[in-house]
Amino acid sequence: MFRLAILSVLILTWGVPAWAGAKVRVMSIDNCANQLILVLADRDQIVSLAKGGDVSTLPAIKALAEGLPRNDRTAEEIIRARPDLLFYGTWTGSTAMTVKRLGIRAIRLEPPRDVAQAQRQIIEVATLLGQEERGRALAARVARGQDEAVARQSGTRLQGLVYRSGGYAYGADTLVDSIMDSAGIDNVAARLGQKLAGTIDMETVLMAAPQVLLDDQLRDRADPRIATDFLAHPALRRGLPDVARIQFPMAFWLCGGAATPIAIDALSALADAHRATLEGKQ
Amino acid sequence: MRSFLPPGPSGLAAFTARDGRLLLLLGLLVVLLSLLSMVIGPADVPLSALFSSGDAPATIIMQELRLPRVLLAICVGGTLGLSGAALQGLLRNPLAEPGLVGASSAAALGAVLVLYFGLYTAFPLALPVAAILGALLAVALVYLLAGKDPGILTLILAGTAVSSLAGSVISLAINLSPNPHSASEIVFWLMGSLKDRSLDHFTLSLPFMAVGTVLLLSSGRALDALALGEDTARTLGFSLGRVRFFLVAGTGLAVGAGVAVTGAIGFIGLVVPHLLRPFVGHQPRRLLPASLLGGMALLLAADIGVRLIPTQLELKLGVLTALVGAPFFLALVLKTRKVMS
Repeated sequence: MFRLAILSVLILTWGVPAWAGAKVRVMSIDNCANQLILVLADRDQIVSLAKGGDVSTLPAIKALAEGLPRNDRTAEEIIRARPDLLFYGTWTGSTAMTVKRLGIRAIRLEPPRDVAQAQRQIIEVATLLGQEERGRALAARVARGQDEAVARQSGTRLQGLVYRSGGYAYGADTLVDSIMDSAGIDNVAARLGQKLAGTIDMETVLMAAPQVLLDDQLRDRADPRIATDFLAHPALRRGLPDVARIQFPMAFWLCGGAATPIAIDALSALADAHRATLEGKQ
Repeated sequence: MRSFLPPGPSGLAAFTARDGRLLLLLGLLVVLLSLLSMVIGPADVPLSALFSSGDAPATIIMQELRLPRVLLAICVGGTLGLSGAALQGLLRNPLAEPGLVGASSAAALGAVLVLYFGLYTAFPLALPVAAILGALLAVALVYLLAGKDPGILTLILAGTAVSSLAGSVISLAINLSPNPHSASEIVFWLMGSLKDRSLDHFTLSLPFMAVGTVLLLSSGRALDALALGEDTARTLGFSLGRVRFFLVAGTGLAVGAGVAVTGAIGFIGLVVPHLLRPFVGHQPRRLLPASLLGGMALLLAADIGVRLIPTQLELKLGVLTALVGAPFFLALVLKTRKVMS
């Protein structure tokens, strides 16, 4: 929240007028920034996007990057390209610090902690890019998606949990928690007191008895899968025999932005279908 | 193999009533810690749930989560303690242990390669087999590198070389992993843990650990003879090649199978024999069963510790044993240096 406030102050103080008239040339060395730029900026504004991010990007958004230059997130590439604006994230701070010292304007994108924050971030990034209209439209689409999901919900809310290998789960104050809430699923991890992301013991999960287990780690076969058998543990199979296991690729909610309204819509549909199955059984 | 010991050919002759009391005490400690381990956990579950039928959450927690955890702690801890005592006898060096001679790292490398290339999913037995091969190669390599009657420095350097080699290939696997989640999975697995293991893991590793344990325990008299020097052991009729094979194979089987399902857990093999040696008159054969039980007790205690020490994220078992074992190792190096000088 504090960092978003700083971002807002930066927008006001650095402001768009410095580039008034000319398009802001933007470069990204962060996968989530890639996604925002792809949907908010004009193609001729984009100097280059960070390579990779296939797991964290929905195919529809990835398709927009076709033909655009990609970078290896190095300071050398940034200095050579001299963009008006550089977006970086959690893992590329040191590169950004290096180029900041050389006078390149770099803005850090924090992972949003809820849907409302994701909406604010969309508008702030759009403003920086000189694309306020597009930003407002995307933020409105997120809000509309939330409203529609809430309107569709009927009956009781589901008790669900995103559970990953090693017991990793998303708790309160995460975009995942907020998207689940919008889709009519109460986050069991948050109920158990988990804040942000962390681990929850399998014993605790068994006692909490969620109705839905969301697996967002769908991967390709070439991936090393050390803890593959974690979610196939006999304790989960035996202790939660009726739990619905829903595959929900992490690309839906790893970053806020264009994926957010799609995630709310998709999860809401999955939750509705499961709710209907449960009600049918009763 | 013939006994060279004065009391007679019986293997039991070397054991005293004092040893019996020590083993009984350690056995009781293992039982006590096992019971304690069964009732400690995030969920408040009574021990009686272990014997219940049905699929109540408490029953499942006891039967599918805590029971495998305790059984694996007993088997892995026991084999690590026993392997440490056997390696110290074979190399005639109190600083030898599976971790320090590179067996654990090489076993971890074997396991990581199987997991990395997805062989485990298609062929579960590949996991213990690869880890065992890694451990066997490491012990054999250290034995060859260190030469006959190795000094402390040579042994540590040989072990460090093998560990570094295994570590560098593991680092390569982490380096080339396709995404940060996969890399963190490998890193966390390497830290060693008994959490969330199943009875499948136990049954997968048990046969190998059992064979390894039998091989190591049956080498007691040969180790006693080796303590007097290789020439003396040969004079007493022991085939040194066979003895070495038994000990290297036993260590490889026991440590490899353990590491395959728990990740690397270090220093148990160093600490346990050292603590128990004064109670068995510094005799390798008497040290073996005591180290087996001592290893079980220490790993059970450490596994209870990781659940009781309050930390934001889960404290890994291998991290805790290393935090306790490394200073112990340093103290042992200093002590050994003083004795040598």
